[in-house]
Amino acid sequence: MAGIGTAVGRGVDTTYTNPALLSAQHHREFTFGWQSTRFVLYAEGPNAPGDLSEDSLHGTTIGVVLPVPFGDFLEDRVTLGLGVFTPSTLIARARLLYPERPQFPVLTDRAQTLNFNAGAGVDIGYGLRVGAGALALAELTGTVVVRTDSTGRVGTAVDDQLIATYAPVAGASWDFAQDYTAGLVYRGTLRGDFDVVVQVNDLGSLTVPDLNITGVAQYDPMQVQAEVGRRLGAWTFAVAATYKRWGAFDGWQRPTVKCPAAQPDCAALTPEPVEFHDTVVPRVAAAYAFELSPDAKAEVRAGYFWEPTPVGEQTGSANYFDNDRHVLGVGYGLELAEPLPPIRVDVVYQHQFLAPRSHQKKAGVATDNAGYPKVKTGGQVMSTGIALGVKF
Amino acid sequence: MRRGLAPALAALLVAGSLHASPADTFGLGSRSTAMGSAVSADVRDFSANYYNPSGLVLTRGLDITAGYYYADHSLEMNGKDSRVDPVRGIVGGLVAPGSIGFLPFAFGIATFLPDDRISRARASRQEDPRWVFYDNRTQLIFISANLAIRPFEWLSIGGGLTYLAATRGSFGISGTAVLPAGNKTEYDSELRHEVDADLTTERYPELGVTVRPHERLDLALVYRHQAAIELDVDAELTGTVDATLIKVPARYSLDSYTVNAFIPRQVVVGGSYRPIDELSVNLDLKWVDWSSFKSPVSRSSTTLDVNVPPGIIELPPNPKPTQLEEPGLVDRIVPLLGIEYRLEVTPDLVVPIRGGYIYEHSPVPPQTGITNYVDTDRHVLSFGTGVVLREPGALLPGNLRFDAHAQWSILPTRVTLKDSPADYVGDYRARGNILNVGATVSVGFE
Repeated sequence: MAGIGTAVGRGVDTTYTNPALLSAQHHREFTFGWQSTRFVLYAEGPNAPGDLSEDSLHGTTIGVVLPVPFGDFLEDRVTLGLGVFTPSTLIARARLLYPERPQFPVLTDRAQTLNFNAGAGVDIGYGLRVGAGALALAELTGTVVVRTDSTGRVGTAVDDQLIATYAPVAGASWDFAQDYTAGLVYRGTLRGDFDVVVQVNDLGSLTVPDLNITGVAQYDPMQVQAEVGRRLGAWTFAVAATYKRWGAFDGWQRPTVKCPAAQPDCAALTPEPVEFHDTVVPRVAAAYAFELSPDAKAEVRAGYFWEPTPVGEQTGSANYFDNDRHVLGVGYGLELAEPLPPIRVDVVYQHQFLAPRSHQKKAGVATDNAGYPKVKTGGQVMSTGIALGVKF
Repeated sequence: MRRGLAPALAALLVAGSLHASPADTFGLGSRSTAMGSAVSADVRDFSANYYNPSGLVLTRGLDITAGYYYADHSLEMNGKDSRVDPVRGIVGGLVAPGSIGFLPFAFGIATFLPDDRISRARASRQEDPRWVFYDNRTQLIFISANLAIRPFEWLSIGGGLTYLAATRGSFGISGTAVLPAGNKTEYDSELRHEVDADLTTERYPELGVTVRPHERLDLALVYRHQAAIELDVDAELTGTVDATLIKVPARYSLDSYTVNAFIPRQVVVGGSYRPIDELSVNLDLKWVDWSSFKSPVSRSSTTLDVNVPPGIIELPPNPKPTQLEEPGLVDRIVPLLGIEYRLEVTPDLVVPIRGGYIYEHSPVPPQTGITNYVDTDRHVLSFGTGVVLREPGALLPGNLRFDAHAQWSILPTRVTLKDSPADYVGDYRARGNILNVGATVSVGFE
C-alpha cells in the first residue's frame, strides 16, 4: 500500500503508520512475518565501480495487537500494539565508510536496522481516535584507553555500551464524513550515533590526540504524514503526503581529531559537508475486498509513491549516492473466519525504480576519485514479504 | 602509534565478558524475586517469559506489569571495594491469553531495560581480577517473547526466544599522525576513520512444560539453551607517522577471534504445592552447564609493518600473543525455595507475604594460576509483600496488584592463594553482599 496507513491502516503496522488506528482493533492478534529485500545498484563512470549491489536482506517481523478490556466508559476504546522487525541478526549497522567510497547510505544501511515500534490508541468517540507510541534504536558509545602496563607492554582498557534512543510517534484519525477518514501522524527524529573515543597514553615518545571514532550510524528524519481515505463499497482509496525534514541532518561522518580550545585552527581533517534538503513524498493506494466464501475474505491492494532524494549532487570528493525513487507495491490478503481457523495471510511485493542520476565533479577533485569526472547512478530494489496473523 | 591503536580498536570490537541474563542473578518481577525465583511451577504473570513460558497460558486474562529494581553491589577484595556498578532499570511485560478455536493460547513478552545502557562490554587482560558474575554480566538488556498452548487441562507447553545484544565489526584509521615538534602539535594530525560495525542480536530458545497431576500440585520442567557469540574481526590501520625530519609509513593489521558472550544451558525442575488455598510452597532445582563456558579472552594475531630509525620514535613492544588458560568452570545445581501466604483481609483485599532462599555454589575453580575470575558461593535471602485489590472499580474488571521485594545476597569470604609467589596479582580474599530492592504494579483483566 506504498506506505499508506495513516488513515486506513490496520493491524500491527499501525504502530508505525498511525497508532491512533490501533483503537479500531477489537480482537487480539499475533503476527509473524518474513521479508526479503534485494538491492541491485550501480554507479557507472570512468572510475566508478559499476555494480554496487548489496547482499539480499532478510528479516522477520513479530507483532501483537492487544485490545485492553477496560470496563465502563473505556470499554472497547483502548488498544496496545507492539511490532518488531529484525533484519537477520542485526540490531543496527554502523557503516561509516570513507566519504569517497561509492555508497548508497540512505537506501541500504537504514534497511539493515531493527525497527521496534510500540504504541497505544484510544477511541475518543465522534469518529476521533488518537494514539501515541515510540520508535527505538540502539547506539554505541564507549572508550578505549591505550597505555603501557607494568611490564612495559601495550595494554588496553575497553568499556563500550549500547544505549537505546527513542523517537516519539503521535497520531490522530477522524472519520469526518461517511466513508471518509483523515489521518495525521508525527514521527520524531530517530538517530543512532556511534561514539567511541580512543585515548592513547604513555606510549614512549609518541603523543597521540584523542581519536574520535564517531559518526551517525542511523538517521530517520522527523516526519509528518497526512492522509485521506475513502471507502466506496468494496473499494478503499487513499492519498497521502509525507514531509521529511532531511534538511536538519548534518551528515554521517565526524572529525577523527578535534581541535582543542587552545588550538582552534589546528590542521585536523574535517569531513566535507553533505547537502541534505527536506522532501515531500506523495502516495496513492487502492484496495478491493471480496468474499471467497462466507467464511473467507480476500483483498487485493496496490500502491505507488514517489520518494525524491534528500541528498544533493555529489560534486565534491564524497560519493554518497542517492536517487529519486518510483515505488510500486502490490499485495494480497486472505482472512478466514469461523468455523475456519481465525487466520490472516498477507503477501506483498514492492519494486523500487531508482531514477538514473548524474553527478558531475567540480574542479579540484582528485582524478582517481571513483566519481571523477562524472558518474551515473541508478538501480532497483525488490522486496517481498509474507505475514501470518492469528486472532486469539 | 600503530602499536597502540590497533590492539585498542580490536579490543573494543571483541570486548568480552561473561554475559548472562540479569534475570539469572536478580530474578524478574517482584513476586517471583521475593519467592527466591522458585516459581517455575507457579508463575502466572509476565515473569513466566523467563521462569517458564508454559505459565503464560495459565493466566486468566490480559495481565500487564511495570516496575523497577535497584541492585547495589558491596563487593571487595582484600578489604578494598571492587567498585562494581549497581544494576537498575525498568522491568515489565505482559501476558495475553486467549484461544485459537478450542485451543487455549497465550502470547507474552518481558523485558528488563537497564537505566544506563542496553549492554556493556569490557575487555581486560586475562590476569586482571574481575567479579566474573557481577562485574559486567548483569549490565544487559533482557527481552524475551514466548507463546504457549494448553492442549489438555493438565498440560501446558510454552516456548520462545530471549534476545541479547552484542557488537561486532571493524574499524579503520588512516592518514598522517604528527609528532609534536616546533609549531606543530599532535592535533595537526590528519587522520580519519571508517567503521563497519554491527550491533547484533543473539537469540536463544527456551521451553517449558507445566503439568498438574493433582489440583494442589503443579510440576514444571524448563530448558534454557546456551548462547555463545563468536566473533571474527579484522582491523587495519594504514598511514604515516610525521616526525618532522622523516615520515615513516606504517601498517598494522589484526585478525581476532573471541567468544564475546556466554550464557549457560539451564534445566529447571520445579514443583509448587498448595496444602491450603492460601499457601504455596515451591521448590526448584536448577542445573547450570557452566562447564561449557568458554574463555572470554580474545585470541588475536597481529602484523606490524613499520620501519622506525633508531632514536626517532620509541615504541613499546608488541603485546605477546595471549596464551589462553581454560577457565575450567564446573556445572552446578542450584536449589531454590519459595513460599507465599495470601492473607485475605477482605474479600476484595489480599495481602501476600513471600519469602525465598537460594544457594549457589561457585562454579569457578580455585584461581591459583594466571586467571583471576573472582567468585564465591552465594546465599540469597528474599522477602516480599504486596496488595491485591480485586474488582477495584467498573473500569477495571479484574485486579490491581502492588508488589515489592527485597533480596539480600551474601557472598562469604573466599581466599585465593597463588601458586607463584611472584604472581602479578598475588593472594587475595574476596567477599561481599548485594542488596536488590524493587517494586512492580500489575493490572490483571479477567
